[in-house]
Order: sequence, then structure tokens, then C-alpha cells
Amino acid sequence: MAENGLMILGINIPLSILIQWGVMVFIIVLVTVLTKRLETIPHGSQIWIELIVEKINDLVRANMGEKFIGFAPYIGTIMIYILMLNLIGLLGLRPPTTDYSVALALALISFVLIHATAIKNNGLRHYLKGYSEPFPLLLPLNIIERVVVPVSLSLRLFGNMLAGVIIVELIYKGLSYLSNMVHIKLPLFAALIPIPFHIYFDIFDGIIQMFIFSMLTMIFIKTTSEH
Amino acid sequence: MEISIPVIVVTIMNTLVLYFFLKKKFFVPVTDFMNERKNKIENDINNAQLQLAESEKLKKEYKEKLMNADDEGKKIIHSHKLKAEEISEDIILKAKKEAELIIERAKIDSEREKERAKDEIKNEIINLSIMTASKLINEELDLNKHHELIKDFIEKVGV
Repeated sequence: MAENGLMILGINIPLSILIQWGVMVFIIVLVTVLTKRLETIPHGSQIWIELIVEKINDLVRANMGEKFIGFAPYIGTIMIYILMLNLIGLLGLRPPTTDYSVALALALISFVLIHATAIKNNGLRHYLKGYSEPFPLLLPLNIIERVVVPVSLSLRLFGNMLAGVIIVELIYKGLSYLSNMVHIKLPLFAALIPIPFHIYFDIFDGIIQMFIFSMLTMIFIKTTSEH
Repeated sequence: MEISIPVIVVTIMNTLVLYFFLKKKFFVPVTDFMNERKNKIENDINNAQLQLAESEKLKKEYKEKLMNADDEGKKIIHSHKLKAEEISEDIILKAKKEAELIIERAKIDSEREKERAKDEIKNEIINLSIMTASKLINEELDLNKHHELIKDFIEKVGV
């Protein structure tokens, strides 16, 4: 992806990073403006802010229990962030999650968090003992099981998003090919036909992948620290 | 698709920056705000319920007091009425008695007067008869001697 980036001060900054920065600035500005003053009786945008926070808190409480409610800000952050990164495809940009490095980075944070929580809650000894349960022969299998979590998390996100982008791109190519076949200079077919595919691959798939990623993170944190 | 370490590092940093920002500026303040409001509303509702119960109690109390006062007033009026009736009856009774007494006395007085008049008449008659008799017989009748005799006679005649 590096070749798609921008040269700034002699450093090649990849597009997936630039888009992330754009999304970050967008989120930070939006949040700063919207939460400038909270009123006791909510009006307009404050209703949506409260709804989002409430839903995320409820989701974390329902999936992880009251004990792990402290994870709500992290889960909320990755939900908002991944959703924005996935939906950026609607602007004609390539979602950064189609860069495997980005997906892997997100999964690595979750991976570290999963194991840090497990060690913090159980102590290092008990945590390490967990690898040899139910009996020591399963040690290699347990290690693989743990290590494969970030890989599966990131590959799922990356694969789905990339597949969506490729399919939509192929549809555009095919439609412009069709337009050429019937000798129309304007990309007539490309105007309307891709809309349902955008809805499915960008909006639907983007939301679903965001949910799967955050749900699995929640469940892994809970089950690994409670095993 | 090769894995680029710088991209991974920068993405992790981005996510962490966004996490700290959203935690500090979005999730924690909004959650705290909502909890605070929830607590306030709960408190308000509880207070309102307490106050409502109290006012309900007071209302009942006052109603009872009012009813009692009403009863008491009626009782007072009733007892005073009874007393007044008693007194008036008493007065009437006394007046009647007095009137009777007066009538009785008057009767006695008149009787006495009558008696006296009778006596006077009798005496007059006696005197007259003595006078007539003495004229007739030309002889002085001894008033004292014959007085008894004449009186006796008159009584027998039944004047």
C-alpha cells in the first residue's frame, strides 16, 4: 500500500495511515463539538450521544458483566473507530482495514488486552497454569489457541473488508466494460447498479465486521480471564 | 500483501490516542453525566413520594381534627341548649310557684278581710239590735251582759 501514500518531509506515509488520521480528526472534532455542554434535559444531538454511550455500556454489561464495565470505553472506541474506517469506503476511499497491517494492529491491541486482563485477574502463576489444562499434553494446542486469536480476529476483518472492496471494484470494472460494449461514453450502468452492492459490502459488511470484532474481543477478554 | 511494522505501530498509537481521548472526553463524562442525572431523578422521585405520603397523612389528620371540632361544637351547642331549657323551665316553675303563693296569700287576705267584715257586721248588728231593743223596752241593756246572748242568737240565725 505504500505506493499509494503521500511523501511528507521525505517520509512516505501510506494511505491507510492518512485515512486513519483523517478519521481521528473527524471523530475528535465531532466529539469535542457535541459534548461541549451537556444539558440535564437532552435535546437534539445530545440524545444521540447518550444513546450511543448507553448502548455501548449496555452491550459491554450484557456480554462481559458488571465486573468488566471498565472496558466499555475501549470497546466503544474500537467500535466507533472500526466502523468509521470501514464506512470510509462510501466516500470512494479504500477502507484502511483492507490493509492487513492495520487490521493486525487492532487485533494486537485486543490480544494484549485479553492476556493482560487474564494475568491481572488471575496472577501470573495461575495464568500460566491455564496453558496446561485440562492436562499438560494439551500445552502446545493451548498455546496455538491463544496465539491464533489475533490472527483470526485480524484476518476476519481484513479478509471481509478486502473481499468487499474487490467485489465492488470488479462490479465497477464490469459495468464500465458493459458501457463500452454498448458504445456509451458515460458510465451509465455504473451510476445506479452498484448502490445495492455498496449497501451490502460497505455498510452492512462494515457494521457486521465491526460488531464481530468488538464482540469477540469482549468474549475473549471475559473467557480468558475467567477460565 | 506484506506486513508493514511502521503501519502497525502507527495504527496502535492512533487507536490508543483515540481511546484515551474518547475515554476522557466522551465515555466517562457522558456516563457520569447520565448516572448523575439518573440518581438525581431517583432522589427527586423518592423525595416526592415521601412528601406526598406525608401530606396525605397530614390531610387525613386535619380532616379528622376538623370532624372532631365539628362534633365538639355540636356537643357544646347541644349541652348549652339543654342547660338553657333547664334554666327556663326552672324559671317558669319558680314563677308559677310564686304566682300560686301570691294568689294563696291574696285568697287568705280576702278571707281574713271577709271574716273581719263579717265580724264588724255582726258587731254592728249586735249594737244595732241592742240599741233597738233598749229603745223598745226603754231600758238600758247592759252591753256587756247581753252581748253574749245576742251574739249567740245571731249565730243561730246564721248571719
